[in-house]
Amino acid sequence: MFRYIKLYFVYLSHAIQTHLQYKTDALIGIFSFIVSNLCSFLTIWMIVNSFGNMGGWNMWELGFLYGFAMLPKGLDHIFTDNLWAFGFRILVEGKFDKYLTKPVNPLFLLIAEKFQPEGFGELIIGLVLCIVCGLNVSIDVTFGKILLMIVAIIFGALIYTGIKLITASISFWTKRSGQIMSTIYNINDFSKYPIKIFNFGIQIVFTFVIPFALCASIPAEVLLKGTWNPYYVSLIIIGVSLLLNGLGLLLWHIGLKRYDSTGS
Amino acid sequence: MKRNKLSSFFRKYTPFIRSQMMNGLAYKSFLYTWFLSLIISAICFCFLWIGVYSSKENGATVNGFSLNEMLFYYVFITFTQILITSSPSQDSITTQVMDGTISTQLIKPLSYRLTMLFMSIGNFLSNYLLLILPVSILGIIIFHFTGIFIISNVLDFILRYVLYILFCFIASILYDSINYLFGICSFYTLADFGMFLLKQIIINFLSGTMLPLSFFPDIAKKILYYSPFASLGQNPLLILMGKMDYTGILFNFGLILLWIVFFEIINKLFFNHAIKHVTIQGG
Repeated sequence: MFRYIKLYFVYLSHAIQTHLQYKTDALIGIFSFIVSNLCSFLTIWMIVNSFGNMGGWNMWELGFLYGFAMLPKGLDHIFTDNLWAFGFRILVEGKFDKYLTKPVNPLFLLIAEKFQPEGFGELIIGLVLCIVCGLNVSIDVTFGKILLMIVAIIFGALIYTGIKLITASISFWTKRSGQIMSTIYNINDFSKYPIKIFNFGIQIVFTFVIPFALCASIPAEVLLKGTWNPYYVSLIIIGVSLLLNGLGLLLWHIGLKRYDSTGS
Repeated sequence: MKRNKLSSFFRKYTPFIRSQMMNGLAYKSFLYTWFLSLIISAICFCFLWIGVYSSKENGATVNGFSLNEMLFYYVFITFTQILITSSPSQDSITTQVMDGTISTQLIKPLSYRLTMLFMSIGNFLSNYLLLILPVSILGIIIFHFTGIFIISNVLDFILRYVLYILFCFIASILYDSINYLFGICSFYTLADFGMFLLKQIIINFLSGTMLPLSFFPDIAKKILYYSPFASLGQNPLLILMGKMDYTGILFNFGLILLWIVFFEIINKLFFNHAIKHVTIQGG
């Protein structure tokens, strides 16, 4: 265990050094990230402007939700970005063999190898939005709600990781699963909207099937509107995130056993 | 004499249409998964709109769109997007610059720009025939019989459909010009996945793909009305939905042609400058 922690920091410093090599790439990446969030935030703003509200939420509340949705996403983005490369490239180009020849867990190696500081952009903008908008809405702060916030950020990030791990593992069977990954992953966009705006069937899908709503819109509903008990919601978030990651690990290991190289 | 020249011109470039269509046929699973990803997102948006419109009374229009029209809009904007924004130019140029094959492309006695353009046309045709033709007809039938988008005058609608496809075709050429411009940028920057993403986001937002432009603030609406962006998303769809009268259609056809000429001139000038900077990597 200790060896893995030590190794992680060694890989981390390598990853940061590699990242700093491509400065323009990183700059363009950060810039396009800002523009993309600006566009989707403006979209919400213009809808609210035309309708007066969205499912009974005003702009401050929606801003808080938008910011909150970025926190678990950013956290996952920083640490597990290499799963994308696995789904799109690594396996199909035959580069996965390299991970198997080293005396560490290949999944650990894959994840430790890449560090994506762009995720910090999400964390920072998300926090700023949360604080600015949070000061303009009335939240009665309780211990349960604070606990829920922390759980939603950490285990919400794990929900992202779990979904990415499951969809990336499909690569072992199909050689390339990046398309499926992004199709499922992109649904997280809808966790930026109040969950109650969707009809019941979609609410169930977003909560238990592709559970991105658990990362943001359900916790925000509890924080701002007090709809559900924060302790129960925390438990559901923890349970679902562990279940997803368990399933992901299981699929990964089954896939790894039947893996044979594609050559290169 | 003149006719000979024309036919030899087409003999030179039509193989690129054909090869790109064959390519589309060979990699059709890529097209279908792309479509799946877009349509799932569109369906989620439809549910979102149902929720948003529920605060209004039945049949109310907001910024010129009733709920039913909005549902039609979001499903068909995905089809429009696939038709218009599938040009491979930027991707091809960037790849060629990165792996050095650009050198063999440039010494061929063919115009680089026209090669790309004809590839893009081939792509448009294969996307239309393999996917959009069947799904758009299916979509129209489903929308008609569920009462969401009722066609009252069939002949008029067929004319609008033809104009829609024609407009999408011209818009795909405009998109290809813009793509080519971004592609040439990689002569200087060498690699630019980030630029590709950035261009896509900006076009999606300003073309009305994320939200119809009638929701935008007045000043932005006026500017975007004359910009090349509106043609890349919502304009063809407004033609199909009957939300644009014939003077408007004529005006927009003229406008988009002007923009194509504008971008082609920029491309020509920029290419002449960039060609001196091209770095051949390996080869």
